[in-house]
Amino acid sequence: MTRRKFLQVWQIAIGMIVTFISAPAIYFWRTDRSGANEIDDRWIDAGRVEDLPIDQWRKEMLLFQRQDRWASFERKEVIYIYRNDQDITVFSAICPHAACLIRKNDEGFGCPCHKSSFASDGNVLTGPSPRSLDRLDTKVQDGRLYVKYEKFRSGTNAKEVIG
Amino acid sequence: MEFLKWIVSVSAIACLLFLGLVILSGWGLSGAYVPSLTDGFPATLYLEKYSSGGHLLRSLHYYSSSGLVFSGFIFLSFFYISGFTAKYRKTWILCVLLYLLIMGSAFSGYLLPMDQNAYWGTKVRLSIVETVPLVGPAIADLLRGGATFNSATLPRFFTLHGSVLATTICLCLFLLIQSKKSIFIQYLSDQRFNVTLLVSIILYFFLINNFSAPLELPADPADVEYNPRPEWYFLWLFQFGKYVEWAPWIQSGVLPLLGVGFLFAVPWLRNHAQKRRSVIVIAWSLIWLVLTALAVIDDKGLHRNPNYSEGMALDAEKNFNRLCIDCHGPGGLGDGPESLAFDLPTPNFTASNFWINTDEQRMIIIVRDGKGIDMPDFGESLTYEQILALIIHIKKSFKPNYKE
Repeated sequence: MTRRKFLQVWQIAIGMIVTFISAPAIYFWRTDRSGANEIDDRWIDAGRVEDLPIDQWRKEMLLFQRQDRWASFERKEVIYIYRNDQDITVFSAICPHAACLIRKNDEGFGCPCHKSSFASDGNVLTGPSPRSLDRLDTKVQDGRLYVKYEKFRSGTNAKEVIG
Repeated sequence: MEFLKWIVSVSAIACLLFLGLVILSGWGLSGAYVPSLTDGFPATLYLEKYSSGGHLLRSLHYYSSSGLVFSGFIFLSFFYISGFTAKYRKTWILCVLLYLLIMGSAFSGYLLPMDQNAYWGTKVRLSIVETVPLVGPAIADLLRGGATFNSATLPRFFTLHGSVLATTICLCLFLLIQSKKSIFIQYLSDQRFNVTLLVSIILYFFLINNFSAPLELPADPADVEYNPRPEWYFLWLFQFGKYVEWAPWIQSGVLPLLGVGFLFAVPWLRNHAQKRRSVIVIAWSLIWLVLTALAVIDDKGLHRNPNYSEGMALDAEKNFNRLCIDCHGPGGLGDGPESLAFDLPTPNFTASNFWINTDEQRMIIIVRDGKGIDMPDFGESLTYEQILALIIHIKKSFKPNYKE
């Protein structure tokens, strides 16, 4: 065996050993995901329906506790609520494009990161957003509004729930 | 040719120095840093504000990493122009690999302070990673430990930054030194050069101590008003993304692949004239400059994100108007409407004899624990940092002849 050949074999062997010994770590990183221990109690109390102004957009902060692995976190999420006499519309404030927070403006909503703009019904007016604003499920119980707070994958056409 | 050799050599030495500074200051910083969503920011604030050497370490780490990105670019450019790439293939490949690893370290290190800038910048960049065709979402989820920010995100970024990437960088460096192309650091054997180097390092230490690494308010995932922006060396990519919004995979897939592919292929490309190579480098630098300038111009209308002390001062003003004004009055005279019902007079912050008897430490205790029956305690509702900012606000607004 020449020296060159020996070195080549040696390099391949080292490569294989490194791959094998790093496999458990990579496997762990790949499969250990948040949300595994989460209790599915996603209906969040968003206050009394009566307190919501009629025909007016309102920015609301949802405060709730979520369990993630070993830690329990206070989560703070922003939503936009619109109430008229028939029903209540709730949009997540997270832009479907790159997950920045949208702001209310005259024509509807705008995102400060890549200048996507949305109409008041959530549809995309201009900009790169691949889908309209993410509408959240709501229900009214005993005069209180409950919002099913979910996060969706950003940058995709489909609304995929991720947490 | 002599000039080319000189600049390649000098930038290589600068890279090594910056790399050494970054690694060593990083070791220093990790002595008191905690990678966690809740403790990441307080630990960083402690390093910056309260520890004895943390400020210098943070500055060194921050500016040396910027210096590393810059001098690495100069080194690679002139290495390429010099045409040595075909002769020293292995060295070139290792250098490119090192540069990419350094970029990866910059990416992962950006999140660690857990201030607004770190949180939002990383969030936006991870969403760019998500648009990489096929593997994007899987990579982003792997880095985050889930589909959103969670309790494993900071440990993972910290491990990548301080361990995985750092170890790989050291391995590459080792291989680079083994490949014994010491012509790049030949000047290190020159006495005069060494003296100059030593003097510049000492000057650098003194200079850097006067600058601070940026720190903003703690990350607030619900802050609608924040304008997220990437680090200066990623601004061009951010700006480029705006022009291909209809196809984000060009920004995150095609462009990086082309760039990295070109860099790795350089030693095997037909060796065209040096003039042509210079034109390529200059053209790229111009594109970079123009895109960066456009990004800066585009953001001109936006309000600047406040740094930590500015943000705390704004917060203190709000807190004063919310909590203090009813008794202490808008002018700090102690004439607020509530104070009329008190038996004892409310102190007048604008009187100089008030400040003779009261120092900062005493005021902190009074705000925290309350005093008498009329002054409530705010230790529960305000953090120590908020109380401190509130007292600075009161001093600034009302104390006669206040100097910073």
